[in-house]
Amino acid sequence: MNDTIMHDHHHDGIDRRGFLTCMAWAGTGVLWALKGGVLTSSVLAQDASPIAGADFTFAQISDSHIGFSKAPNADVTVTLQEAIVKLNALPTAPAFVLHTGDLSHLTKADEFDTLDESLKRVRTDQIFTVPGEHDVIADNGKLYLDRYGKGTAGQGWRSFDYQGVHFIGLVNVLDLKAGGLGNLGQEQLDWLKKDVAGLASSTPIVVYAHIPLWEVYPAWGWGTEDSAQALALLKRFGSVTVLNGHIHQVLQKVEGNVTFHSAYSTAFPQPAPGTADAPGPLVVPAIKLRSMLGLHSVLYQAGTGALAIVDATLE
Amino acid sequence: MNERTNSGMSATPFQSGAETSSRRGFGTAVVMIAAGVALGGLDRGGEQVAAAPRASRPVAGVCETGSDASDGSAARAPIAATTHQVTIAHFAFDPESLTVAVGDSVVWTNRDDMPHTVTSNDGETFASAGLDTDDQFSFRFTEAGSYPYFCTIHPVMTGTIIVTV
Repeated sequence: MNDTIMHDHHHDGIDRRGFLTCMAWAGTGVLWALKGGVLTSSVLAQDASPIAGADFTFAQISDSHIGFSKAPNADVTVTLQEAIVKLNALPTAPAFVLHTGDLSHLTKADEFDTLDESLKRVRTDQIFTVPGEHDVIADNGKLYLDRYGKGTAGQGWRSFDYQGVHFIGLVNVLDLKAGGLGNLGQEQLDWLKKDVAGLASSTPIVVYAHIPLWEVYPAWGWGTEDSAQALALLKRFGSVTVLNGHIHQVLQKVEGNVTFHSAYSTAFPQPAPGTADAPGPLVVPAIKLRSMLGLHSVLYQAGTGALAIVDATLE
Repeated sequence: MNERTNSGMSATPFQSGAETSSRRGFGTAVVMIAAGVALGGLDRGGEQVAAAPRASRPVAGVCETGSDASDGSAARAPIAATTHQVTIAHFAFDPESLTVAVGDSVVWTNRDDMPHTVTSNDGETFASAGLDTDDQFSFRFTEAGSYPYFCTIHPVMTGTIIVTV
């Protein structure tokens, strides 16, 4: 299924100076630019050229875990709201926001209610979600799909086009098998094949899903069993950007024309791969917490195929 | 064929009564249809311990949530049945492999800061709801066999219950 967003209320692009001023809060922010499949990074204050003249922006937030209340974050709703305040402070509202899953902590209706109430305050036209494994506990995604499944295909996947960029939201948290990783499943792969069949290879592709579509750390389940099949379907495209959540930290990887980015959580950090005995919440001092939570702002520059991704912490 | 028994609290005592009231939220009750079909003989076999309202009585072979599973219908606890404990900690089941006798119960207790599930690999024999910190799930095994299971939230977490005659 393709959804086309009809509204573009900021066709005047980005004001570079204003954007940089706003981005001052991104103390540890690093700017990532994708041009022709090559990833370059720069510290915000030193080189902001990738964001100059962006045609539109969108934002990614992830892993809100509404309902979580333990160390190191007793109130994850507050930190989500802080992320929203940061988003709303951007000089130009993002065209839309992607939430890459784990909206809730325990798949409970009141958790989704709290999330929805918070997201109403986001200054944007539309919010797209994909589920995390915490959104589909013991019900095979029923509650999640009842609430967020409108306009999606299959078990919650979708695609839409915005200003020449094709966005694909994939679901890789259902029908997981013992000992396995994330799972897309044949039905979704078949859908993906049809979805991209008619696209020119020059179409920039942005894929978003919860669990990484690359093997970050399989021992902790940080990967997707059949991601290689999905990526094979995208191989012919010159620019593919894959955004994920799940691991509550920023990591990047480049593989051919595909660039992978994982996002901060708005709730709590997790350890770097293999640095702890388990991937539970990383308990950090309160004073450090907000430097390990955050969001992504993504800017797109038409004609160059460039995506600039700004990792922004809450402080 | 297994003897039909009630698998209520009286048949599956728990170590700590306090833990049974530690739930903070699971509002509703019935979880998964299960064992009777898949194993052709498991009676009502498991219940998750939770301070939540009970659902109407399930049919044979149903896992349920509820603070009290006894319904006064069948009555007899298995003779000399033992209750075994499995701790969920550091994203692992401990012990990972456990051998029990037919009629014994196993109680899983989540000691992690993150939720987990206890779900048989076939998805049918037993399946807990999401277990938050200190939540428990219990299942009584009435047929011999090997029962591999995993956490559906973190599938790298696996375990096996071996049930002997």
